[in-house]
Amino acid sequence: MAAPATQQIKIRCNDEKEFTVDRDVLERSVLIKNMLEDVTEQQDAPIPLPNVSGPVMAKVLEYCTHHRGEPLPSADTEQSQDETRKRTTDISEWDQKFITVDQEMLFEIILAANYLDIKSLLDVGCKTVANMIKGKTPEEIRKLFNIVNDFTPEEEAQIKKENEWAEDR
Amino acid sequence: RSQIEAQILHLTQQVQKLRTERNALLPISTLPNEILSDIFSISILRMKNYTNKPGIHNLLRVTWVCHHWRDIALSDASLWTYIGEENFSWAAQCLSRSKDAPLELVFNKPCTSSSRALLLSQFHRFRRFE
Repeated sequence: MAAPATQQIKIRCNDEKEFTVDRDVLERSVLIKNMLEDVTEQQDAPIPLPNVSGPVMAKVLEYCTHHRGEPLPSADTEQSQDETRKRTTDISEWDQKFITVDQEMLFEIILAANYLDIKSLLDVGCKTVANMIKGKTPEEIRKLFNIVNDFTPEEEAQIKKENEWAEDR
Repeated sequence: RSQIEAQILHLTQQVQKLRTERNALLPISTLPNEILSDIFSISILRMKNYTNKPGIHNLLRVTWVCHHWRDIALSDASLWTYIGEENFSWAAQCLSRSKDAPLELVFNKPCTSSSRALLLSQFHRFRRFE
């Protein structure tokens, strides 16, 4: 017997790029899941996603397709999971390869995951940036993200003074 | 001479201001404050590693990068609630920056009497003490 057909949903990004995606893949996004639950009748019009561009959505869908079928965090477990996830910076091998993108795309994926409410993807993005920062000096961090030092010499002296003890350790 | 010095000071302040504005246009600055704060929280690695030198340094270093990062890190009380360090300056900074948030204290060796007195003044905020 043939498997029941999966419902296909159309989405439209802010650059007019459209995707037609299996409902269970899209429902990795809590935002879209809630939208779909609120709509009782079958709709042909694409769901507009004004905060996500086509190239970023393509990456997000790659992630959602790979992780389809995995349990979504429930509201009850969310808080304890938040604590647990902060205690480790481990990222699975597939996720690591997936998130190996240039900085601009990395930040856009994080923003999209935040907007679409895909906690696990937001987590992968935040852990990736955290791992980039970890163990680096302020100057190395500035260089990494192209940040310029905007402290005045007086402010720098003050900061150095209040943290002298840490430098000696 | 004083006029020139005043002008140098004014121009220096202008340069610092422009540097801050330039930083605001960077890709990393598109991240909302709460996400950056979350990233800082992950980067300092809570629990075991946080009591070690790298955890403390990671936290302090993000406050030295630029004004924006410093403001975010210092305004997030939750980043400063885990005191795993016997140093008085560190304990004092954590107590002040954690505002009224509950504290977790984990020490590998006895505190100095000055640190102990300071920490005990906030006993009502202790959530964990080891």
